[in-house]
Amino acid sequence: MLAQRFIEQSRQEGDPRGLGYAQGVLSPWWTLEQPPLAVLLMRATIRQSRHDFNGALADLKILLEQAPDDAQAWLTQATVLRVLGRYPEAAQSCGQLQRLASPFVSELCRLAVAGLNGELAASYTAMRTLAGHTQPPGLQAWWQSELADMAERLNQPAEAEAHYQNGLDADPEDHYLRTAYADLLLSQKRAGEALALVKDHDRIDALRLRHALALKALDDNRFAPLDALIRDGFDSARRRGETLHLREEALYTLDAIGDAQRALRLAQRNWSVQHEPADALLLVRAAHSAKQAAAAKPALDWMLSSRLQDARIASVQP
Amino acid sequence: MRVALLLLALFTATANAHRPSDAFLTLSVEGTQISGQWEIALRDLEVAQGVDANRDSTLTWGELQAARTRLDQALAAALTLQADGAACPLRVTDLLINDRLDGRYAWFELQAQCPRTVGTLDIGYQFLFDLDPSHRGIVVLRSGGVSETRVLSPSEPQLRFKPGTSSGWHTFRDYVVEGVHHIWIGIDHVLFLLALLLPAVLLREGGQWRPVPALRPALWSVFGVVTAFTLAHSITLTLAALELLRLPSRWVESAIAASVVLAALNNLWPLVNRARWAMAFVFGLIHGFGFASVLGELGLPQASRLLALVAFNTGVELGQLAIVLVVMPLAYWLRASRFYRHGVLMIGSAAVVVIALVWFYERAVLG
Repeated sequence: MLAQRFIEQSRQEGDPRGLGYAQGVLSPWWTLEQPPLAVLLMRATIRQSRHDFNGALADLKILLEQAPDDAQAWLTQATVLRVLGRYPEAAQSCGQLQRLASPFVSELCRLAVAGLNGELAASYTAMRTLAGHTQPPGLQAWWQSELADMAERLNQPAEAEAHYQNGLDADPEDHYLRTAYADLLLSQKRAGEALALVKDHDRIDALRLRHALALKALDDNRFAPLDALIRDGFDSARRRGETLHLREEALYTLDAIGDAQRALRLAQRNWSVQHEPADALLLVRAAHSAKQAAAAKPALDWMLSSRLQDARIASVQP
Repeated sequence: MRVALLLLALFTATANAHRPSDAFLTLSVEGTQISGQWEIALRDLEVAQGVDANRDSTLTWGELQAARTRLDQALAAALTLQADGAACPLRVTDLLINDRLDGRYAWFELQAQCPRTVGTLDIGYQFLFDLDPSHRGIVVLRSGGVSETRVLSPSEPQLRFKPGTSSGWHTFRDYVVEGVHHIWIGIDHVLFLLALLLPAVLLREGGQWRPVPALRPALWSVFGVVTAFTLAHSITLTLAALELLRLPSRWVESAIAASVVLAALNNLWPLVNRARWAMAFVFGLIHGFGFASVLGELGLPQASRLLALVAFNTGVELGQLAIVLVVMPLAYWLRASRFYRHGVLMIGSAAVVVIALVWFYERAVLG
C-alpha cells in the first residue's frame, strides 16, 4: 500500500513530510472512528511516530479486537506500552507474539520488557543466547541495540559498545542504534569518535543533534551554523504547536545551550509524555544540573516501582 | 497513481527534508492595500504543482519560470483574502528564491487590492492540505507597527484577523493568565504573603496572640501588607523586565527563600508587629525580581512589551487577590480558636520555616 511505503521511507530518511503524505493518502478514512483494519494499523503507526501514544493505543485496541492475529499490531502495541513505561501490559502484548511470530521476535520482545521490569541481568544473559546472527539485518540490529541498552544499564559500557558496533555492521542505516551509540560515546567524553559516527547523517534529526553536541564538546567552530539550524527547527516546531521533540530539545538545551533550568522544564514536560530509561536519565540529569534535586523524584519513584535498573542514572546521584 | 509515484521519487531528491512542511505567509495591511510574500518550500511546490518538467528531481530556475502562469493562478486560487466580507483579488507580482536554514523556498511577492479599508481580514488557505495534511501555513500579519502570528492548518483553514487591535487584546489576555498562573504555582511567594497575613486577624498582647476585636483593624492590616507587597514587587518586576535593573538569579532565589523564613519566624517571635507592611514592602522588592525571571522565560513580545508587562503584573495581583479573598475571611472567622492561633499560625509558621530553610539551603548552598 502506498501509505505504507511513505511511512517506511519516512522512517528511513528521517523525513516527517512522509508521514504527512501517508496521512494524505489515508485522508478519506482518517477521521473515521473505525476505518478499515489496514488503515487502522497505519494510522496507529503514524500517531506513534508523532508521539500521540494514546491515539495509537486507541487504534490498536480496536484493531486487535477485530484482528487478534495481527502480529505487527501486537508488536506495535508492545512498543508503545513500553515507551509509556507500562511494562506488565507490554509483556502481555509480547506474550501474544508467541503464537503469531517467530520465536526470535517474541523472545526479543519479552526479554526486552523483562529487562526493564526488574530482571535486567537475567534478561541480558538470556537475550545473548538468542540466535540473532542468523536473522535478517534489521532484526539483528534491533537485537544488538536491545543488548547494548541492557549492557549500559548494567554498567558494562565496553560490552555495550561491542553490541552497538555489531548492530551497525549488520544494518548501518539503523538510526536509533547509531543515535544511542553516539550518546554513549558523548557520555564517555569521546566526542571525536561520536563526531565520526554521526557527521554524515545530518538528514536524520537525532543524528544531526548529536553532531552538534559533538562539535560543541570539541569546541569546533562548525558548531555555530548547525546550532542555528537546530534551534530554528525547535522554534518552527513550537510555532506549529508540536511537542514531539521534547526529549531532544531538553537534551540539547542541557548539553549544548547549557540552560539547566529550561532543560529541566522541558525534561519534566517530556516525562509527562513518555517513560523510557532515557527520559528518566534526562530528568535526573537536568534536575541535578539545575540544582533542584526534588525535581528528579518522579523519575526515581517510577524506577523504584518498576524495578528499573539503570547504572547511568545511579551515577548521576550525588 | 502518477502523482503518488512522483511523490515517492521526490523523497530522495531535494533538501527541505527532515522537517514537516511549513509555508510562510507574511502580509502587511495598509488601508485598502495588502502586500507581502508567500514562501513555499520548493519540495512542496513540486508536490502541489508538478514543476519538475524533466523529472530529474531537481527544480531549476528555468522550470519555475516556465510554470509561472500556472503557479500564479494556482496560488491565487489557494489563498483567499477578504476585507469585511468583500473579496480582495490577489496577484502574484514576482518570484524569487529564498535560502532558508532548512532549504530552498520559492518566494512569491503578493499584492491584493481591497474594495474598502481593511477592518476585519479573513484569510482562507487551501494549499497542499489534500496531499499533506501536516502542512501548515504560518501567517505573520503586520499592521500599524504591530505584528501577529497564527497558524493555518487543515482543521483551521480560515483565520480572522483584526489588524492592529486584536493582537493587543490577545496579548493582554494571555499575559494576565500567565501572571495568575505564576503566582499560584509560586509557592514561595504565596507562603511569604500568607505568613505576613495570617497574624492580621490577631493582636499581640502580653506575649500572646489574641483575636482582633473588630473587623476594621484586620482589614487595615491586610490592606497594608497586600498593598505594600504589590507596590514593591510591581516596581522591581517592571525595572527588571525592562532590563533597567538586574540581579543574579541565585541571589534572588536565595533571598526569596530567606524572606519566607524571616516572615514565618516573625510569627513565632514577633519582632515586627504593627509594621509588617514594611516587611512586605522590603521583601516584596526582591520577590519582584523572582517574577521578572519567570517573565523573562516567557518572553515579552517586541511590539507590545509594556502591555504584556502590565497584563502580567495585573495577573499576579488578581491571583494574589484571589488567595487573599479565600484565606482571610476564613482566618477572621477562626481567629479566636486555639486551632487558628496555635495550630495554623504557630505550628504552620514553624513548618514554613523548615520548608523555607530547605529551599534556602538548596538555592544558596547547593545552587
